[in-house]
Amino acid sequence: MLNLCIHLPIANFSVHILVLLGLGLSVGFLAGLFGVGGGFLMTPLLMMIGISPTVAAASDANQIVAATASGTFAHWRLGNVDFKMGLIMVAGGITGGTLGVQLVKVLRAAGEAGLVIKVTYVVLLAVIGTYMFQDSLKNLRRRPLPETGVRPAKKSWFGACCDALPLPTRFEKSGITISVFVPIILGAMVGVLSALLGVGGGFIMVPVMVYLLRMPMHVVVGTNLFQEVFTCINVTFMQAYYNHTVDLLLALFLLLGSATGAQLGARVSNRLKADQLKIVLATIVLLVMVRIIFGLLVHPGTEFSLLGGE
Amino acid sequence: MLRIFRFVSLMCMLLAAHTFGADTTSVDTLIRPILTPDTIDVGTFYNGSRVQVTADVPECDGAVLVLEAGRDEIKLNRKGRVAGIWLNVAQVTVENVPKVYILAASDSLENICSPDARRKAQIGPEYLRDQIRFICDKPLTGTEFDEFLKLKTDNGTYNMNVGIDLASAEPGRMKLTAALPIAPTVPPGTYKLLLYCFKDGDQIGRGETGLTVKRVGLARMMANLAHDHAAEYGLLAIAVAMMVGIVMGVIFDSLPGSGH
Repeated sequence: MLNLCIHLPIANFSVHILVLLGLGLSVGFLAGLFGVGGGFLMTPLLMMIGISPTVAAASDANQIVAATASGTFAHWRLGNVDFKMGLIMVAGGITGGTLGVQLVKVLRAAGEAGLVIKVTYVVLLAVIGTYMFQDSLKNLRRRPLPETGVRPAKKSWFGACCDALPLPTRFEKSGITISVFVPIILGAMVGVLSALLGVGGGFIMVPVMVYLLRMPMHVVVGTNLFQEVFTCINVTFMQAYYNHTVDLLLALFLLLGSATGAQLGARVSNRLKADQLKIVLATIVLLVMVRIIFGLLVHPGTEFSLLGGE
Repeated sequence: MLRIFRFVSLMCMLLAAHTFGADTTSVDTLIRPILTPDTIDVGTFYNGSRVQVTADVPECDGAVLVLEAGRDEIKLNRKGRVAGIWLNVAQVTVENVPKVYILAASDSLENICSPDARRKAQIGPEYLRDQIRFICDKPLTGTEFDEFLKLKTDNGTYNMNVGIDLASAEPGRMKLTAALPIAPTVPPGTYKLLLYCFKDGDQIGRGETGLTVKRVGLARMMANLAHDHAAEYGLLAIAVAMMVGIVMGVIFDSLPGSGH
């Protein structure tokens, strides 16, 4: 009988190869479909199979590099990546992420960081998920949207604020003209939230691009994947260098699955309507929220958990 | 004054010699346990293993085996309820923790040996409870040891439910056999296997041997690279991920029905 279990040298854990490939394939499919990295799903799943939290998070960031690179490649070939917008948001995201790390330190010193972070996470997921779900359902019932998913121009308070900002710039691929400061500020805000919540931020960034920047859904997916490549490269290197928690073997099997899944997801994404995509993503976001609430209310089994593994 | 001091010192030395002498005379027959294998190679496809212990022991009522590794300090998060929500409420430092603790016995410890014999041999959960120290900024709840034991047992590094087979051999001797499970989570290192035999509640024999768990091949190379050349390892991890991602993209792009 062929032994298909593999020993992960950094995680110090053995696991069946098919489990890793299956996890990678499923999460990669979601990455390609919605343009999210999938870290908010993969890390808890890895912890569930017994991998320590820090190794799970660090190796997950490593495999997301492959999934997002693969997804970006696929979306670039389909003409769905706004590189200009992506690079500007990366700049904002790095600034926001750095500020967010400091904010976490302040909250930890105040002693109530855990409560603040968990409640923020749940509220954010609830607001984003519910809004996306309702909006997409309304659109699906009313009339089919144009293929690009662009909404009819409608001036909102946010639009008025954006118009008041200097340096208006044309983003051809997204078909919008806005101040260069808008994506920088939004990228920074998402960066703060990402650092606060410890997630890649794709599930926040995608609704921000759809609802606030009013970019077409398919361009949002490709552009978000592009900016996540940079975020995850940074996290992978930092975790490998400072914490020695990246398990390359674990990441390798996950990414073989996720890179394949991302390609399949990108193809399915291009065949679905914008509102259909959004309603599925909204459902996943709401399910994750329910899972987090369940975890917060039910006794954890053992009152101890390893602080960063052993 | 000096004479008094010398007298007191001499009395202390005599008392100590008497005490230790009494202990060493009750500990007894030296046993040689045999481990098969005595070295475990942790390679790429390692998924835990079992080591066989055999020993020729004096006739006894029961035997206990303990596989133990060096002491360590670990940090844990303690969860507690805040406004009805389970959150990490404190950080607990646990000192003097054996990295691995596997205990095998031919019967329950209570049936094999007296509490005094257990204390002298330093075996069992009571001994661990006395040895391990919990340090926390917030008040301890008293449930720390049980919760800690649950965590380590779930993790596979602690196991206190392994059996030992004792069979009569030649007159006055018995044959001991046991299979100790070594979980995949057991870290590389040198382990000490201790064997104790008890009769009428008292220890009548003791033996000791070593077990080595070491990484080999790709597992060893990657662990060394990750710890000794962290920057290169990080860059390698990124390069591999990027390469696989793009290669998969190119492969899928060239497939029929890719739309290009």
